[in-house]
Amino acid sequence: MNKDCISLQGINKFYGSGQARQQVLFDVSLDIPCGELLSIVGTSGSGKSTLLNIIGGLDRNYEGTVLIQNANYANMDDAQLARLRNENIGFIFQAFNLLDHLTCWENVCLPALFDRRHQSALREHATEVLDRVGLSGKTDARPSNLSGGQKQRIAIARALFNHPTIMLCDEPTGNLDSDTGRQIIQLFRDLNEHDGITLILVTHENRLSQVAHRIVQIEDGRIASEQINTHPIRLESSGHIDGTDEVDQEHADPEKNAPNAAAPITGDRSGHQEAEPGSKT
Amino acid sequence: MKTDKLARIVSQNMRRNMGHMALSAIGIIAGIAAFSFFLALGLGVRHWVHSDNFLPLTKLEVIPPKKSLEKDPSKLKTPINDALVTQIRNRKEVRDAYPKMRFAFPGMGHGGKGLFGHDIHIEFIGDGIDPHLVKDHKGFSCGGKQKDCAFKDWWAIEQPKHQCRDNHDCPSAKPCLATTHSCAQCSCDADCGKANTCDPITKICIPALKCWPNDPYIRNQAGKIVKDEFGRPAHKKGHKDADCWRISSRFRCDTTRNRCTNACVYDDQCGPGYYCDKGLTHTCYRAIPALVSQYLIELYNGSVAPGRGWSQIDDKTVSQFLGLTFTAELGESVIGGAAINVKSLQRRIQLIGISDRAIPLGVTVPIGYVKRWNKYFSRKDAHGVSLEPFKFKHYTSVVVWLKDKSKVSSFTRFIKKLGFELSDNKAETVGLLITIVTILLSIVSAFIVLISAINISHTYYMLISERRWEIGVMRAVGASRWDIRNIILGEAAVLGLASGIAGLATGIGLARLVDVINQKWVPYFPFKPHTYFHFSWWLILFSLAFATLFCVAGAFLPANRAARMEPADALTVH
Repeated sequence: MNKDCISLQGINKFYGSGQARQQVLFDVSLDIPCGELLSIVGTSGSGKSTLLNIIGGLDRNYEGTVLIQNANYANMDDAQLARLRNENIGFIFQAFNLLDHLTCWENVCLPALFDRRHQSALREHATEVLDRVGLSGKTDARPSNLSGGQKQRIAIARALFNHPTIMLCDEPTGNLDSDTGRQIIQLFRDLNEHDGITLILVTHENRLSQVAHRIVQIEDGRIASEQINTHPIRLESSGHIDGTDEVDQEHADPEKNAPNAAAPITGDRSGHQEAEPGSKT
Repeated sequence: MKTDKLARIVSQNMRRNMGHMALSAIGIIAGIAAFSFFLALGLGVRHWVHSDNFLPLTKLEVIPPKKSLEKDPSKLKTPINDALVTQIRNRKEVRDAYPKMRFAFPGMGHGGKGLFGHDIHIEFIGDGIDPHLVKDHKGFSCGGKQKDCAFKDWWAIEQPKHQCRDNHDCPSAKPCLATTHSCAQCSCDADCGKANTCDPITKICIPALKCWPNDPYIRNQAGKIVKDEFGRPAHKKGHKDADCWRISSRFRCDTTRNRCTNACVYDDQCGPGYYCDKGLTHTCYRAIPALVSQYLIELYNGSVAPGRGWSQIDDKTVSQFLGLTFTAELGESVIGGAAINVKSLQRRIQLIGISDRAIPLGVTVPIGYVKRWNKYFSRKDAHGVSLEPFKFKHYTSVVVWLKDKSKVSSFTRFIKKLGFELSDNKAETVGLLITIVTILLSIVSAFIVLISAINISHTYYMLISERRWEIGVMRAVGASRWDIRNIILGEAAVLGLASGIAGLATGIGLARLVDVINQKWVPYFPFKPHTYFHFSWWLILFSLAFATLFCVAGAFLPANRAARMEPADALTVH
């Protein structure tokens, strides 16, 4: 692991105003080194997606400090933040968030349209990225004609288009069947391993969170526990997924790769404080 | 965000929302169609009215200040005289300027039997202008025979003698002849020298020419028949007065004395183009050349001829109309009675041409005639001194032709500085009226466009509400607020431009339809134009800009609202 990519300090988040004001995040602090694959798990409504939005700069109404590669969000204007999202961060959503009126390759190169850097041959690059996620044959297809897994791969390709250093995945398998979900998760794992992308995976499925190096449990807006996963599971050995929805059943077996395989943080990992299982940060 | 990328996103979104866009654009199309139609109508009619054939705006008339008209014009501090005319003519904005002098007396005319079948009697007004300003003027037409048009002060040319009312008007105590109202030059032949003779009636010296009315051949003054080189008679006399016409056509052969004279009793006794002033002088005069305006012809064709069943004046009959002569009783009036204490003058006036420099409803003659007539009809004291010299020394107005319509304002300033005013002419009045109507119709059209803009605004609020999640996605992948605003405003601009083009095309189509209906079904009327519309380049640009601007304005608030959305909030709706 490298130095911290993301650092959250004392994050509080409120919704509503007046008497209806409700706090959903309570003094959340978290440091994420570059190249880490982090899982944030928790029940529905625990605040994990809200936290992810804050990390991604999609939500600026919070208290506390967010540092991305030592850049403080508080000191950035909207254009700078948009540029950061465009050039450094890739988002993956549960609902895929593809634009149906665009073809697959147009969806994939959407970030390029907001990129101030000179870019040429967008279609060629989009085709390359689609090939990487195993959808080279779907370049001109419309998202509405694709399966859920294929849609999510298009979304991943879009997130990868501008070569981000950070990927934020919000329930990426929520709308997928378990097999496809495993495939997608393995794809994230591969991206983390081969490309060194810092990856934050928000999920409510503990089984899938086991691919991460570290698992953060959020309960009621607080970090309930933080565990170092000494044996991240592998759902597939290959770095390339060919879209056949086949998975390595052995590695994907939830029984073998259950949370009990994860060990509490005992070592001194740089950028992380040691914590007992279930301890709050 | 780069322009090509913006164009790409706008194009993608436009394709996607084509249905919504088309519906919301209908209002803009209708508004711009109405806007361009009415504005082009106003411009077209204005263009038509201000054309050189109708009411030229470059033709201005300088008049004394209006408040001074109520006072005695003779007490004007700055009269319109030759000095002022020269000053105006020397201005750089001025192409030409000429003085006008109105008839300061009433007039009646009767004649036209040859053209209308019977004589018509009509009260008429007139003015005088400098003949030089009609010469070679493109607006002057005399039936295709311009060289034959002789708009000249013939009296000054042929009869250089003083016109008078009594002896005071004549030099060297010469008597003023009561019969001819001219100063006598002689009383007997001895007063005129050897070669001349004193005409017994006109009392002027004329060449002492003999004539042989009954001889078929022209003779010289020795009485011998003029022969050619072969010894044959050179010229066969076609008319008994031909010997005298060698002096002037206004002379005839007095058969009792075998002498040439310009005294007459009947018109037939005078030569071609001349008439006998039977009422007063009994001498032959050349008919006074007069011009009429195209406006008068159009009035005749449009109102008089159809009402009386007479044929209209067209290119074929215009020469017959222009040959028309009528007798003018100067100083007589049905309405106002006779001129004060002076006997009226009977003159023959011949219409010789059509000119846009002629008075719109009346006749225009060389200014020399008007000066003399006005002097004749001015009041005088016991010594014969005119009490109203302004009547023949001061001009009524100066007609000024500017080089360009754009010079009007600077020339107007110059004239007002001198203490004069510009006459309110029809062009200005009609132009103002058209401008007001055009403005009103344009305001109505603008309201249509405004309401359409509100409609556009609603459409965009709806579209943005529908596309809230899409905006969230774009924000997530790197779009800034400015990008979102630009995308929405870009769509609105394209929609506005497309609507503007469609509206303009509709407006032009409607205008063409009206013109076709006008050409095929609307009967002829004076100055009927080929088109009522004028789609100038600035009107086209303005319409397109107007449509675009209003669309962008309509989308501005929704665009701002979309730009202000937090991406996280926008994404939660999906």
